[in-house]
Amino acid sequence: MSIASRIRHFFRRRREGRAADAHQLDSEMQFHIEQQSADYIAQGHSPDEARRRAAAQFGSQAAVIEGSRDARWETRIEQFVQDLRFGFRVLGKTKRSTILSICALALGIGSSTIIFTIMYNGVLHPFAYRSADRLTTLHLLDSAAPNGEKRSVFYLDEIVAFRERNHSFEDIVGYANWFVLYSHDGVWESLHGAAITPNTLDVLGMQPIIGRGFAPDDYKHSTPPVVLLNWRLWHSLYHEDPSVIGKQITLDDVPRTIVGVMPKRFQHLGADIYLPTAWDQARPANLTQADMRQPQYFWATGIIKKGVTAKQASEDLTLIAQSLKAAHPDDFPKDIRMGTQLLTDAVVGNLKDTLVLLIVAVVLLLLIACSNVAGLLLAQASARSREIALRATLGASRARLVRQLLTESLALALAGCIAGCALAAIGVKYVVAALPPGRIPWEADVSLNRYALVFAVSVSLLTTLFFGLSPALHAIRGDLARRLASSGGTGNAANSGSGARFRSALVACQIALSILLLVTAGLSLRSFFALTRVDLGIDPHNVLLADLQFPAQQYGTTEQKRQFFSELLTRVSAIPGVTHAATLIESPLQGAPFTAITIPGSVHGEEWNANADIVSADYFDSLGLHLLKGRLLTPVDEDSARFVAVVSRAFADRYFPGADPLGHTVKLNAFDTLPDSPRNAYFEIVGVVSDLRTNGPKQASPPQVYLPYTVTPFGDRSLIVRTSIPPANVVNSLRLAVAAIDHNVALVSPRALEDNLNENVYAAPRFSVLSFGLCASVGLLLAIVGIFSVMAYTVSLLTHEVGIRMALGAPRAAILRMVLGYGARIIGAGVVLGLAGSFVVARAMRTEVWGVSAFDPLTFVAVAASVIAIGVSACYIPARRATEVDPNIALRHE
Amino acid sequence: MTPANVSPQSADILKGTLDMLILKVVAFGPIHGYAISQRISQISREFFQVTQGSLYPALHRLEERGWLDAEWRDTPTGREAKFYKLTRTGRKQLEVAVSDWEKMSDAVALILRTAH
Repeated sequence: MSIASRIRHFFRRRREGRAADAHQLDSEMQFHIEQQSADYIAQGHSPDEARRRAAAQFGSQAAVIEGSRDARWETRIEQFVQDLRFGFRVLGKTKRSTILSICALALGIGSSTIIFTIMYNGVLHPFAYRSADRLTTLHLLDSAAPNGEKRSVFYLDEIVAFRERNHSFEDIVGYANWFVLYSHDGVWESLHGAAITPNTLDVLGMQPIIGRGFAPDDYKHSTPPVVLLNWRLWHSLYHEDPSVIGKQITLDDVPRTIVGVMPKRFQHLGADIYLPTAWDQARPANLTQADMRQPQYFWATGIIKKGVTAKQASEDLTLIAQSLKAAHPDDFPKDIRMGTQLLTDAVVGNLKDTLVLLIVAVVLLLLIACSNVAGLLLAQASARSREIALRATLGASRARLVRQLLTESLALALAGCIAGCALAAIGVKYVVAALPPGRIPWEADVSLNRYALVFAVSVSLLTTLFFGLSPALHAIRGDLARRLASSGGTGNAANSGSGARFRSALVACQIALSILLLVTAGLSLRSFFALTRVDLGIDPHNVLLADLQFPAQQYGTTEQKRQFFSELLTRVSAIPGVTHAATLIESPLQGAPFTAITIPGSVHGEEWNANADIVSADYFDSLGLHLLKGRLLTPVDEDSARFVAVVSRAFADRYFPGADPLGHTVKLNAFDTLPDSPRNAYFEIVGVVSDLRTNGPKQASPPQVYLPYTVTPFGDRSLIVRTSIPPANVVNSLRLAVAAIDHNVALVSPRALEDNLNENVYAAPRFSVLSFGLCASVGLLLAIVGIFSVMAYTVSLLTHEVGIRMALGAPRAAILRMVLGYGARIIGAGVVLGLAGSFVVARAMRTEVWGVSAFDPLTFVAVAASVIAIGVSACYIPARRATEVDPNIALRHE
Repeated sequence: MTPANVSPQSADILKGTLDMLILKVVAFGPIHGYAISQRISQISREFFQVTQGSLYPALHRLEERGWLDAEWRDTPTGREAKFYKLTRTGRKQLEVAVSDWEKMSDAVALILRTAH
């Protein structure tokens, strides 16, 4: 019989068959007795006597029926359901501790389910693609380079070579970012397009939810251009209107037909639209700026064959790369090797470390919750010791009693599980919203799914054993019959005493665990403060950044750019509230173009390099950089595109130690290869400005070179505006200023520098502080509840002793000292244990801690001191109650 | 079962053997509960007295495990009774139990004979 049909069978039998079953059993017994009496009659007994003897021999019919019933597995379930029902009744009777327990369990189960959900759905299984666990990105490595990486992008013909000649991949797809301008109703927007190779949809195993995928003809130049929409764009721009299929959308002045909409979880590259790219796209011989608009370099992702190791794949690809190098030696480093990385590993980054620590934190929280509930159950078990003794005397076996008590715990855990899942379902949204942006792939669907529910239920079952078993075993310890005989109120003192000791040990553990959590939270808080105290070298307040996107093949010359910007910057500066405005290439604090440099007259072994930015004169004031020596760039430098440079202090210190950099020249080697840029150009250093921590507060300021923006037409340009009013208020005027000059130029993603910093630099440590802080506060709260209830219970046990002491003349202060001393011993034990454990935790946390020592004495002392202070105050209320005991009443009670 | 003149300590060991005895008796052909108890007591020359309190739970346990099959049919006296018969797995189980028992009783006998 299959399990399902057995279960159906069970319920059917339960519903209709129980009576029939009992009847059958009954008639079987009846038959037995009749046969027996027939035998007795045959032996010569009178019928009455025979029946009497047979019945007597048979014994209690009910017991036999019960015994026969016990043999059936359904009975076990019936008992279990009975116990569960009884359990819920018991829970209902002890409302206060039940609510406390359910809250504790809900917090423990809920928080671990949240973290599990994020870990499982966001980090381990974010992709809905086919064979997502074997999706692998390809990288070209250079063994000689410091970080080993050469490039992760390839020409399409290279990917074709890898695709056709490899033996270790099922297939390889190529894709690239392709930002396009989209115009509708006179408004210009920049859309994030992705160029995808013809096999992409099949390899990733995803098809459009409406419309069709790309057909072979779509890759030809002769056919009308087409486009696939991403679900988010379809949602935001077309409000999920299915009639968009067949409509036209104009991208970069090319009208394209919408052929399909991709499903929600197809978010390849997070792009808005997908553009077909043929495999045979030619590699341009000489790069022009126009060529650079269409993607030339593609990322490569393949599905590695089952059973092929990363090493085998890497060796396989390296052979192909070596043959490619023979044709294009300039594109490859001397010592080449191909590397592979699982896509899931590639997207995770450093969130994994934080999440692993968080898992540890929620497990600790769960442990605190469990020991908290165990303490409450223990108190209940002592109160119920008479009931348990009575059941034992009436014939319940110890195993049966433990089963019953565990079932009651299970009832508690189930309630906790339901509440925990509700908490998780709500909480997971908030936690995901608080996650530092960009750490979870677009594709991830982080919500409570069946895996999370299975997890929550298994955690609940596990916790049942954890918090239920020891109180249950404790409850059935000792001579149960004698316990019943002793007439004392709540059971014998010895049992309650050992229960109290056990509870104290549990509370000490809770305090130790919450100290671990508090130290974790304290260390992340200290790191966060250390991070925010770092001077970035600029004033990020009231600074607005925005990117400009020029129409394809326009503004390609220096003069066009100069005319555009001199007019734009004049207009922008005139906007009320704007104090400074400038153009630049890269946003500060988001990295910068990096180039090798040459300084004539210096001799050096290693490669010298610097960050370079191409800026207009007002850049330094817009950002708040100070002039230290020489002069800043001037409008004259811009207008005549003079080869002058301003360098940062780090640049001067590194490359001109102890000497004056002014008057020296520097060459940016990158210009020798970039399109339309000055070849072999040397820039005279005219000024030194203060440093800027471009790579974030954790990294020292890199050497930096600033050049007039008119020396090359190359590169996308951005705007930086310093305002005296909230920067969001000038965005509209900024748009109008751009449109007034040329409405084909788009102002893209305006953002406040401060927000940008918050997202990219401070969001991750803030998330750590928030999550660890939350875990720690909940843990501490539970531990405080634990110590409070154990002290209250202890005081109630001590009432008699306190009465005697007071009757013998002990002052109230002595009583207070006695009770507080008892609490302090528990707290002290917990603190010592917790601090010892914290050193282990701190060691594990070293990579997450920044700016302070992982064994930061201040954190440890502050945590210990506050736990002791809070713990002792929690003991104070029960202790005060002990001093208010009236000796007369306490003694009469006996 | 409460075997006459057997000390209570050995009841545990004998507990498992009741199943075997029942299976053995049922192996001869379909038989009802009362007859099983009679047969066991007859064959063991009244050494084993199977009480109803252990017989019926054991029968239901064996039925639950799928070693016995039961059906209601008429006895020769025209009275309806529940008849048990051995299933195929029950027969296998009986063979295993008998061979285990023989091994054990040989081993016990050997020890009793040789260890002084």
